[in-house]
Amino acid sequence: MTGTILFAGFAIMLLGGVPIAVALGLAGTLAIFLADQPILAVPTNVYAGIAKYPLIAIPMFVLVGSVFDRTGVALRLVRFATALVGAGRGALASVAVLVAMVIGGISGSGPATSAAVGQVVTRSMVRDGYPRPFIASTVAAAAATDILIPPSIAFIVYALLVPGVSVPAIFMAGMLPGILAGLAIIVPIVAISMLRDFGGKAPVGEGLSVWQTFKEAIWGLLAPVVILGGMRSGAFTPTEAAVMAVAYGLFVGFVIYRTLTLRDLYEMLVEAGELSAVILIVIALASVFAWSTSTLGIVQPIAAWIINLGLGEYGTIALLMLALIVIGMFLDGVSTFLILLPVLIPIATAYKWDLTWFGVILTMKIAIGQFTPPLAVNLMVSCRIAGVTMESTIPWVVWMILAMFLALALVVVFPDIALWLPRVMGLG
Amino acid sequence: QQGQYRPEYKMSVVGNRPIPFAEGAFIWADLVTQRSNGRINVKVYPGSQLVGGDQTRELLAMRQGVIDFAVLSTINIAPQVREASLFQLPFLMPDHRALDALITGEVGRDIFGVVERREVVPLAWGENGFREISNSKRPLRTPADLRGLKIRFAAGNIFKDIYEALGANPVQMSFADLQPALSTGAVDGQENPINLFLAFRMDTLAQKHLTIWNYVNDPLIFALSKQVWSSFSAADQQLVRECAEEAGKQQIALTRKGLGAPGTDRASLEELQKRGVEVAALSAEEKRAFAAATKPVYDKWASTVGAELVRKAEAAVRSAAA
Amino acid sequence: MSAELDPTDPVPDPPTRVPLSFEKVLVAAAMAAMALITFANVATRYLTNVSLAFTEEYSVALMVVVALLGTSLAMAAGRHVRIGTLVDGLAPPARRAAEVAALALCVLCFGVLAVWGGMLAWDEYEYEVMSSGLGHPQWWYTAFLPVLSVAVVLRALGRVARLLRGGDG
Ligand code: NA
Ligand code: NA
Repeated sequence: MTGTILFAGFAIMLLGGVPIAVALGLAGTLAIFLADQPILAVPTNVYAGIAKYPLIAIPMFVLVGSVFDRTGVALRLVRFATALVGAGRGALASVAVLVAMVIGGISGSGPATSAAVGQVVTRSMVRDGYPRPFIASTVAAAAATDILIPPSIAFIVYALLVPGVSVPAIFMAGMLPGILAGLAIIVPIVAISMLRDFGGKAPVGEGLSVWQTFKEAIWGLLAPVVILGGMRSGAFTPTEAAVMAVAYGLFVGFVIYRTLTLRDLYEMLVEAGELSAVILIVIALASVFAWSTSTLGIVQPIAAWIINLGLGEYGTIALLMLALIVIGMFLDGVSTFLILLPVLIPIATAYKWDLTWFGVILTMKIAIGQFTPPLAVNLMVSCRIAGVTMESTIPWVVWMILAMFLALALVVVFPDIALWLPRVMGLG
Repeated sequence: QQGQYRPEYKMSVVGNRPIPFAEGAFIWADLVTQRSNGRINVKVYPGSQLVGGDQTRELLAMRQGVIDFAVLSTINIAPQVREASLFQLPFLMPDHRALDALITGEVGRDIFGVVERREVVPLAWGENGFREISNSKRPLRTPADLRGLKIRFAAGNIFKDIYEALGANPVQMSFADLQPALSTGAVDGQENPINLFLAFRMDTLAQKHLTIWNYVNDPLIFALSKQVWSSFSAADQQLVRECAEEAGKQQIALTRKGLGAPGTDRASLEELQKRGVEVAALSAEEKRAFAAATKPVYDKWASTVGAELVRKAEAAVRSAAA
Repeated sequence: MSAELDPTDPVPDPPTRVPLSFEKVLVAAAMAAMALITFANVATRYLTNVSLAFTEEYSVALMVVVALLGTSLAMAAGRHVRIGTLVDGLAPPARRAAEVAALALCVLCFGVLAVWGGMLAWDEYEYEVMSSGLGHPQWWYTAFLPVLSVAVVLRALGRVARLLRGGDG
């Protein structure tokens, strides 16, 4: 009974437009109250839920995103990639995907990358002869690789919630699936461009020299190296790697590109602080929700029920993906993890799945959800920039969804695509 | 309110099976639930999940009714019960006999008395084990070998003092951070009981050198909140106490298994060898060098713990050795 | 609309009586301090023999401050992650009523944190709980929870007042 109230209360508040954090916290508090549990569990878990050292990586990686956004790295990356790839059908669209993947190696969230890339490529793609709905689809799908290619806030939260999964290990595990997902969406993008004659209308390269653009872009290209290299070499923890990337970004912005001012610095700190707070408060109040589902004993029966359906490994994964598609329509990746992992992890453990691999495939599914209409946050961002409706993108975006699903299927069938890199790097 | 039994009592413990520390909680919970015929239904919440994973909050949460039962580590309660730092005085206890002399004697009763004043009812002792130091860089046989190494410790300022006295670079870090920190080399070493070293496969995290130096042991306290305790009938109080004592004994046996203590085998030590860990078991003389180097820390913290209690403890250890 | 932030559609700061710069300056300072502490940790580790690792405790406390002050900022402006699909399509008076109801729940939620968070801090004070890293009184840190929850409550009430006056919040 209390369990029903917990979930019903949460759903009603959620659909009524109450902030997700508050819906989670209040539903949990109500259940704690009704089950005659001590209310002091609420502040204790809220405080302990965020006062954790590994979580400091979240505000710091958000800050990295803000810094590189303002330094103008995206623009320079696009110029370099354009000079490199040249003109032609599908060329600039492929550039957009490649640039989104590099930005993904700096930033930790999909919508932010969608905005950064969309703002830079949309106008030139229009000039080059791409229809706007196709541009919006390309940008949204490309930006979805961001939460797979490290750093990734979704991975940090997953590692925090799942014992035995470390941030560096799952970061490395996301790398190849992220690249695979990016390459997978380039296939339909280039094929459609060839068939429909998209791109190649603008003058070749506009006189961009490869060497000149490379000299400018190298600073952005090196940022993922600073982040991942520092972590791999053992020089930095993930949090420290983020802070070193901030220092590096500020150096590039103030000294090399001279695009930043002290005013920018203040605004970046405020912006990153508020963005982080909005994520952290969900984590904090979700801990109250988790406390009540755990003490009410709701979690284990649901997990046991799913295991006992007897669907087998692949059947169960298919069922979980289906559930995630539905839930992913309403919730972002972090909230999805916070609410569902208590049920999902016992299932994964029962099947003896590798929990790092499991985190990667769940995140791939969430990435697909970020550009699957009608509720798709990356697509919403890129559509606003391109000035089109989400419905208009459907004929194009379905092919990219299909492509990324095939990439996901490959990672499901061949777990080594995810696990090989952390293994050879000694991250277990 | 006596006789008013709740449908479930929540027991908190750090970590999870198969570490003997957590195993002790499951044993106690099962014994109480079975022997009371489900009248006292105890469920274990491992990983300190009732307090958001922050193990140092367990004691306060017991007073607040968030936790009913717990198996508490003396390291984790030391920030709130300074007398519990006694067990962290470096090289106070040379071996298991010394530990037994403390926890079964007057010192143990004194510390239970202090805990009781914190509105928590302590019932029995357990043992997390002697904490041995491992690292990825080199064998450690003298204090000088520790110079410059980054060593992670769990909680408590005394550990910071100990490692600074040895010229190492101590890093306080929660257990959740330890694995990635070791695998990336962000820290060079750590200190934990051998059974935990094995369970978490720290040999795969570049921890190639292990030194058995028995510098501190971490006794555990099987306890429940005073409020819950007084709600039980006298017969049930007796039942819960007996179960705690029995679980404590079983738990201590699990902790000491395989370490070559009298009456046990050397399975864990052999397992270390099998995994290619280079083990340095220090001689009494080598330990004395470490004890001398950390003497200022011992003296400083002895006054925090209380001179009287420390004197009693030292006497108990001496008579155990005699 | 899926529940994630859209960086291209930043809701502008509302006209508040207490300027939002109050939170902004503190958030910026706390973020900068966190970054500097972490940076100093790396620098001292590689360049000197000094350990600053104990400062981790301050970083964690600063993050709690950032989380609550940023929540306060986002509360004033209505920038929290939420599902607006159903509510935002309503006619303006109904939309406003729904938002006032949602804000009332926010007040309740952070009110609970203010009151019981205060009790938690009080318990820690009375019980002489020390922090695990530096041995400071733990309530120094925990007290941020009730105090800043009050700030969130006040920002939610301010937004309710602006909505009731017929504004956009
Ligand atoms: Na990323
Ligand atoms: Na983890």
